[in-house]
Amino acid sequence: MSNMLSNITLEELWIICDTPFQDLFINLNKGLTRKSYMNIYTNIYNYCSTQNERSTVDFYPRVERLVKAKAKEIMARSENLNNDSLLFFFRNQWNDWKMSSNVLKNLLAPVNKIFSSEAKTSSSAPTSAESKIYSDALNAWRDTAFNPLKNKLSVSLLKIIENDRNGDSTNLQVLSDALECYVQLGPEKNKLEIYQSCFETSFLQETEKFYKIESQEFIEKNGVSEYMRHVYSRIEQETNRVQQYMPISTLEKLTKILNNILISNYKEQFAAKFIDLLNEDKASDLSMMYSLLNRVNHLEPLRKNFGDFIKSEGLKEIESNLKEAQEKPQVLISILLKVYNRFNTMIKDCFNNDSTFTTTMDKFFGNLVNENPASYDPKKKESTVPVVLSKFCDQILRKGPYHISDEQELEKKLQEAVCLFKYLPDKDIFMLNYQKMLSKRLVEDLSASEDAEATMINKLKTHQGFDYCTKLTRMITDMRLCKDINANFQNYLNDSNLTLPYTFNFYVLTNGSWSLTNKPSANPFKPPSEMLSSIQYFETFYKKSYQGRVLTFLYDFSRADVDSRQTKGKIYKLSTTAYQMAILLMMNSSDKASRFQILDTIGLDENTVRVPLLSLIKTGVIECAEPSYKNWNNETEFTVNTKFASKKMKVNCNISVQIGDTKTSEGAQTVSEGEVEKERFFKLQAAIVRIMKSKKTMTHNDLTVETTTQVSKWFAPKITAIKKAIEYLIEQEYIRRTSDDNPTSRKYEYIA
Amino acid sequence: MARSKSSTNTTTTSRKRKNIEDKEEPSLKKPFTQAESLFNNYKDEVECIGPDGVVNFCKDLGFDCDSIHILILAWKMGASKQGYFTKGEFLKGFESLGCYDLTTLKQQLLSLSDKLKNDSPKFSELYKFSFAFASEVDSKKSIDIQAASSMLQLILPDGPHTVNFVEFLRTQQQYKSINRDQWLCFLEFSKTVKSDLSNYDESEAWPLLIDEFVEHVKESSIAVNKEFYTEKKDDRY
Repeated sequence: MSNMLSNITLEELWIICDTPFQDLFINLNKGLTRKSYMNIYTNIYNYCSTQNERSTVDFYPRVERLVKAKAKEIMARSENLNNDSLLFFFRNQWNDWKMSSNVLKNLLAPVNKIFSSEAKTSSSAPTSAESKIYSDALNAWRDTAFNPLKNKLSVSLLKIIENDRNGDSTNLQVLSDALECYVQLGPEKNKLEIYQSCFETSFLQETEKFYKIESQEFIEKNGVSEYMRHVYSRIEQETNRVQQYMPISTLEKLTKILNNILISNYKEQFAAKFIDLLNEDKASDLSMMYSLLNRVNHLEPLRKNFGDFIKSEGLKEIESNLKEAQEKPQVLISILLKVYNRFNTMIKDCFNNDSTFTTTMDKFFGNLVNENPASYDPKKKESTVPVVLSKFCDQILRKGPYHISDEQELEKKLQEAVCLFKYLPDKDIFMLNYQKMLSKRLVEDLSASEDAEATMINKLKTHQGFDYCTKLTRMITDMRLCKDINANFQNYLNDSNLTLPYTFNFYVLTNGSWSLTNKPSANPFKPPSEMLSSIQYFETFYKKSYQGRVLTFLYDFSRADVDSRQTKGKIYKLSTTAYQMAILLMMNSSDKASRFQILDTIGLDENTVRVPLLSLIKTGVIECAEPSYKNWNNETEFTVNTKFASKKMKVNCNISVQIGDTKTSEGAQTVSEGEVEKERFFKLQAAIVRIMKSKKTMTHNDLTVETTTQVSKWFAPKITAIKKAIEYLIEQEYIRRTSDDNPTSRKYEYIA
Repeated sequence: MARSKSSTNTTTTSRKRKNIEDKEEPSLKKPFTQAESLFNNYKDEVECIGPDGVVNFCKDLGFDCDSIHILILAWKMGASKQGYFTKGEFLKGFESLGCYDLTTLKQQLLSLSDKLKNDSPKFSELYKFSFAFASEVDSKKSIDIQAASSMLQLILPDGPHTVNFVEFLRTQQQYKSINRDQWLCFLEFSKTVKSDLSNYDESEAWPLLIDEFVEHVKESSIAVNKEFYTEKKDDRY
């Protein structure tokens, strides 16, 4: 090996290298055999390792000269070429050039190494040594081949893009290769400099010009809908082209121009078309319009129109069915739900589930829910929906025609009810009514499913918080406890060797959780002797088990099943109220009784006994010669109807009757305005005391704000209501005004 | 004439006596016994001057029964009920005012009522007292509208809002009585809010009664303006 390490001069070396180097650039496809490659490489290596360092410097200029000459030689061949052919020629030569330069770089690797160590020691500008040869080659290409042609090339490239836009087949790979050259030739500091100055700027200008003309023509000819589709595909096309064939940094600038020219210029026209699209229910066009206008941040007019549209569509639905919607809760509720679902789906399908659209919908739909002609009470200036919705829930949860037996279906309905619940302005009115109806369902054993009740309460709880449902939860708990109490009572009776004449079931309900009270009556109800022993036993039992608790019997809500044996031997089961039972039991001993006798025996007064009597007469169990209750007096007599007959063996005697203008209905009864007002007054007081207790002193404004937030879960308080509560608490000496000379710094102070 | 002369005489003597008292450790007993005998002149029930006695007493003192001076006297006596002075209250009043006869008393009350005009904290005390004094109910928690109106005219005759407020109380239906808080706030209101209500801020802590009063005044002044305007308009045509 050592004999091969002979000294070699530059001249000798160049003789070996010259031809292969020239071939490398001119006749690349002739190739270089492995042997000659090794030969050249070895010689260069030898030269580098034997020559003193000084002489390597001479080597570079030679290479540089060679490369320049070759570039010139190649480009001389392009003189007669134009347009595409020139572009293709350039592209092919460029690809070869890169290849050649790479080979040359590798061959000259030894020289590079020395050069780089020199560069380091002399601490000259640390150019990337490895690419010194390569960058020389690129520079030669740029100066000799690219610069003279660049304008022509750019024009050809733009032509290619234009062809592509016009749908003519074209070779986009050339575009990609050529632009790669633009980037490669850029200076190290900013590779994109040449690309940007020689191509990108005019590309963007051309694009703007092209689409300005095209969009104007297209929209005039085809209308907004078609245009949107067109724009959509145009943007896709342009984006794809950049992504596949051009430097990606162009995308942002291009997008800006496209948005501006294609969308922003026409956004008013788009938005104007929006209402038509809504009316025609064109989901795909809506979705397209959304995505286009979303690009230019021009959704506000859409949102506004969308909101108005929700309201007007909803009103249309309600007005076309107004009478039913006003009268039947389930009709109004199902219309509202239909509207809700329709637009909720639209937001999902067409507006990409955009939260700003949801907000708009919440606002306008909430408005629709509460201020439509079927739900707005112009007299009270408030929405009736809280009441309607609670009635709706009552209907589907109670035994009866509206109850839904399928569990999943019921669950779905309840879920929908909760959806609407969100939009109630005064959630306390809903709750008070719901509570009242729930107590009725539970006490009268009308609740269809204990599970469904619990489900609904849980849904409300998740939505509005635990304390919103406290009373409901307690009611359900009471009902559960009642089972134990009745069982324990039975055990107690067995242990004490007592027996009841009839089956009794007691509900023990916590005072305060249930909104049940007996109607005021001049005389208390006197339970008939048949009932009395059971009541006394129970009282003794209960007081023994739970010391210190007070029992009040709610006879107004008590029910009884009475067997009526007819002369013909038929037995009817009459389900009655406690009062009706007492009247009927009286008639066991005598067939007729005057009102005086009735009142004397069972207690009550003429007003409270009226309804039980009337409904017994209406069922036909008893008779009265005087049909109008207004003419009744103490001598009026009531007799047993001996001819009573019914198709059903079980007869419900607790049916609704007409008293004056109002009908005592067994259905849902709503909570009066006064009760709501009272409840709110308590809530405000409680909130204020709570706040003042923790803060000790507070300004009027702060207290008002804080109180409003505290009760906002229930209702939106009026300022006057808060003031009223504050003044009441001052009077009751819970709080006082601090005496401060400066009126603005006066505060309220908690009196411990 | 003779009477007035004699009264000037007593005044001078009283002044002399006062000076003497100031100098030499006054024995409080003497004026007391004088006050006591004065009390006996007017008492009509046991240990108490009733309404008739009060009327006579005021007449002799030279003030109207419903004058600010008598109110001040009642305040100094700590009287608990309008139209009645108990013996204890009567004597306490004379003691705290340092008087022992009608003439000195009159002088004192006149000068006190002058001083009070410029002594805001003292006046507030009197104002506070006047509420309980005018209250007919045992709890002293409220006074009826009628009593409140009279008392306001008596104690705040020159207040910027008194005339309007009394008028408002007379015409409204909603309130039958006024509570202590509303009463005290009205003084504050009279002190701080200008007569044209321009600096009234309804977002502040004023009681509803006062909010409603302000609204009432503003509405009626708008109505007046309107009338004025339409009249003018009519003139033109």
